[in-house]
Amino acid sequence: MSSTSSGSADESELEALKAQLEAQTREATVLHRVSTLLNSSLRLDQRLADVLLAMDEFFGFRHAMVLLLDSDGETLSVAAHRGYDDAAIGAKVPLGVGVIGTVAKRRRMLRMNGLRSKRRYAATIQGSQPQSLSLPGLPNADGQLAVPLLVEGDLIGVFSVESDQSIIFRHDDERLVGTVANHAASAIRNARMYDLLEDKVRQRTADLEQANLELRDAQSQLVQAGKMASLGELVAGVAHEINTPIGSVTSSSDTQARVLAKLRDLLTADGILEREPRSQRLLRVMESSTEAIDSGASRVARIVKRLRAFARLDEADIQKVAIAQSISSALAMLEHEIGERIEVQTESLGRPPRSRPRPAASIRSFSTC
Amino acid sequence: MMLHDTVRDVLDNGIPAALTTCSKDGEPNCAYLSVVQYVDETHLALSFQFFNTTIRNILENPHAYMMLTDMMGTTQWGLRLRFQSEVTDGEIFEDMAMRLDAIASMQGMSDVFKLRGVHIYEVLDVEHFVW
Repeated sequence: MSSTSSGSADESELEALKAQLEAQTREATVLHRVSTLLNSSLRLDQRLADVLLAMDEFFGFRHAMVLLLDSDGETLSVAAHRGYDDAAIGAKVPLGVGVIGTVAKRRRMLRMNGLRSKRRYAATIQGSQPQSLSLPGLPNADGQLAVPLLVEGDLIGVFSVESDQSIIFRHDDERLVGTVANHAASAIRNARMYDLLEDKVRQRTADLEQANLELRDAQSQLVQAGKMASLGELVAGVAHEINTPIGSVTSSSDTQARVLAKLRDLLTADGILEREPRSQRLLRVMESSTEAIDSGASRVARIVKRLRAFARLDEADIQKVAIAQSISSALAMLEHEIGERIEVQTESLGRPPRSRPRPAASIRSFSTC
Repeated sequence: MMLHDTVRDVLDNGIPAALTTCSKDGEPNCAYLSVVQYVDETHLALSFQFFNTTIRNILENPHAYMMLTDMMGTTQWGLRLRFQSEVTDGEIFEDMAMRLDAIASMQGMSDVFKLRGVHIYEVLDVEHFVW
């Protein structure tokens, strides 16, 4: 054993100063890089991963993680990590447990070296084997430096670096990691505000899209209603135009039928019908053609009546509708389509079910189905 | 006597420090300490959780000698110390209590390990030994 000489003290002091200056220059460079990284984008997870990478490259902090406070405020979960297996960082850290939990609870930085022997010591006092609590991190870390991430005094997480025995954390590291942690805390707060903003924008956009959809729907209903109103007017007009001639046809055929009946009486009284079989035949042709006119006119009148119902009912509010009646209306209007090729069977349903659409709409529905 | 950064690093390296004390009757005692805290350039802090021989000796005789070993095990530092005061609150106390809590909570023993006090020592002399 020998005591060191005190010679060349100035030289060694100079060396120490030079080393200190170099270390500080390197620190400043890295801090600049870290703050640039953290501000380069709002994609937080990527930026945190980049920062952890930079810490590894420049300071040999091979095992580092950022934990964020969970919404329950009682546990922390790993948000970004470097140098760990995924399985090693899955567990949550309760506040107040372990180095990270204690840092979070007390909101103070903690730098520990020789953790292994300290844990062995505590276990010896307790008289048990050192427990391996399932906390995220190296299972057998010897050094740890953990810093609380604070935003306006509120804890949002913890930044932690760990080591096996290869490096120890020096008091200088506190300042460095502390500064990085401050940058990280600001970046996390900004990213959260950005996320919040994004959420709001997404919500607004969704609301707007919904409103747009409703507007388009209302517009198309309006267009449809307009079309139906025009159609109704047209149908009403046509019905009116047909109604007048059909009225005269009906009244003429009625007159014709009565005249024919009187003619038959006269011809019978005079005995002409008996004498002239031809007049008998002519009279029958006249009578049957009058019946045909009458039946045709009645059918047209029926159709006109239903057309008018179709046009007029569309203006009505929603009301109870007799389905059977609607079906028969629809069938009547489709008579020409159905013709004799198709046989339509309708079956009464005892108590007919009633629905509540607009009557005309229901008639149209039946016509199209 | 000033504590250089090099000594400060050795304090932090996690290798237990050996502390030798002496009773008023002249009986020496050596104990290993897991936590030695740097206070300032001329002061150190030691924590105590239990009342033991070291504490009893230091209350009888304030002089102590501490041996620190570097990571490689090739250099040692000898610190001549004098007990100055006991503190039970303040920055240093909080810091050391927190360290203790971090370890104890891992063992589920937060209640057992309570920091009773922190002893502040003045550093009178520093010797450097190279093996």
